[in-house]
Amino acid sequence: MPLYIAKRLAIGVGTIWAAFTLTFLLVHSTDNSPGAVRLGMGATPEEVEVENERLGWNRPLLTQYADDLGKMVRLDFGQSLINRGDVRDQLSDRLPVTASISVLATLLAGIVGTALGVVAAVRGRGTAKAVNAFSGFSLSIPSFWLGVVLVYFFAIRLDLLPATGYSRFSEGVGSWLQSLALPVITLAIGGAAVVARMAASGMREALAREYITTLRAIGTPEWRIRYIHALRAASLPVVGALGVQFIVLFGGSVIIENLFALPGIGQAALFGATGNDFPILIGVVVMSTAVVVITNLVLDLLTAVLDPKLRTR
Amino acid sequence: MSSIRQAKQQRIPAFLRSWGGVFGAGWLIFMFLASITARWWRPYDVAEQDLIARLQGPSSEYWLGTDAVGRDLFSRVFTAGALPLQASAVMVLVAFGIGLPLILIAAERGGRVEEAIGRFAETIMSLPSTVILLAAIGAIGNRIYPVMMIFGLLVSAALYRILIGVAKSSRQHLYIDAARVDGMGSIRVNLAHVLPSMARPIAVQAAIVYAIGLLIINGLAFLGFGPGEPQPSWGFMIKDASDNIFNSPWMMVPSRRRPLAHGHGGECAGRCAGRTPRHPGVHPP
Repeated sequence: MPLYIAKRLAIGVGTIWAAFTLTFLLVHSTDNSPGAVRLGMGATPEEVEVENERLGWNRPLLTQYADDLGKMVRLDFGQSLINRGDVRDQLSDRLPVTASISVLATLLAGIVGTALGVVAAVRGRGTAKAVNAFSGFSLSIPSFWLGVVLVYFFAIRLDLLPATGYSRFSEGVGSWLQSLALPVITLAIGGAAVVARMAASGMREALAREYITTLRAIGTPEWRIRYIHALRAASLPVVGALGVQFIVLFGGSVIIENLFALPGIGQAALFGATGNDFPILIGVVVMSTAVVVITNLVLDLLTAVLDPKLRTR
Repeated sequence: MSSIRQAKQQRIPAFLRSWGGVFGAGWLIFMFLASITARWWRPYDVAEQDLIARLQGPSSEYWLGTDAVGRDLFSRVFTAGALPLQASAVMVLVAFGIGLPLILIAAERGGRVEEAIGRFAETIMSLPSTVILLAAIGAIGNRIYPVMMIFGLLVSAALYRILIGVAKSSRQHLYIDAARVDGMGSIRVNLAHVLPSMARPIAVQAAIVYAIGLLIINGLAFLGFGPGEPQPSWGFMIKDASDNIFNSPWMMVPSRRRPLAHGHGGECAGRCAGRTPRHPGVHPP
């Protein structure tokens, strides 16, 4: 098990490094320069050149890379080119919003998806077909369109939930959950579809195993076989799918945040992309990747706990 | 008699033998052709405004109604299709162009090589792609083709993870060994025997990845990174509809129609092309 965790940790660090390197190369592959972005349209080429020199943009690429990488390790992403605020401070205010949306959406997708998958596997063919049709349909829906439809029905027609805006966790759990309900449901539907398929096939496979036959033979009650023995075996692929789903939903929340006007990382990414704010872009990519990596590490630990084969390694 | 019928059926691809597959493939082909040719037959120009008929529902004059400045949604919906359909195809080509050689090499060499490529793919796969794409747009500008090529690079890692198992098991066939013993070179074995035996899973993944590409392009357009106004894009039409949802909920319907049709068409064709893929693998954002 320690070896397994060490391996996952190494891959996680590698992922963050890859994210940083990819973004660094992208930023440096353009004609645009931070001096030009900071000074805006009105600046003369000479002024831009002076500003670039001051920001260290003209140094050799490798020097800049080593310098930026060293700073990133210390979580220093520099200053925003547009509003000159510290990138880390700006993003760490936003990170909890995006993280709570994607964590809640992943949990909801996991619960609803597993329930649907188990029902599909346990009940007859009709139910299985219905669940399959539901997941096929939800997979092909763009989440942002679904979000608008949900806003139309639940916020405008029925007036049950707020359409936009964010209420902090410290202002009360109830209003926090209310402000996150629609975005979380919007994201979770697509995730639930994927999880349902995984859970259904995992459950079917588990129920066909020999030890299940043995359990039946010795007279174990059917509900214990289904919901304790088979579900435990089926939960492994589901947890694996949740790890991938978290990455997907985290990316999805970037789009959804803009629909629901939530002050998360996604809005920062959007502002950064519109304004060519390089330090913000690198900060957003690295911090998002870090969140994804940490969540996946937690899920890996959960897998290790669930899977007896991994525990002994 | 029945064997003749079977032989005949074999020539029809599996996914065309079910109604879902026929519908999915037919709808995709129809939409693809209609979108590419839209500029020659559309009833109105995409920028043509009828300021008296704004935010209208469907009528005989405007089949799918009009938007906030009185532009014909029918013309706009079809014209908007051309760019995503092409850009997503480029993305699929890049993804397979990078992914397939790596898959074939890893499957042939195994051992260290496979482990190294596998680690690399796993690393790329855990990157949050939407954020990376936004960063790419911020760095190199709103250019859909280069951005989708970067997405293709990210997708190739997912393809690797899904298809490596298929490639490895197809190398188990005796005729591969026979070909090797017969003195066939590595490249020829891969092209003549390994790749053809993987055709079905490759087709399935291509269809799924293509649909995901369409969703991504529309997601970016929704965020405002589509073709600039007045050029139409599905994503921005959804955005437009959401801005007008209070006074004109009808706009959601046509703006939805296209991405759904494609996503679903792709999914359908994909799912029916090979019996349900064990790994859902690549996912829409």
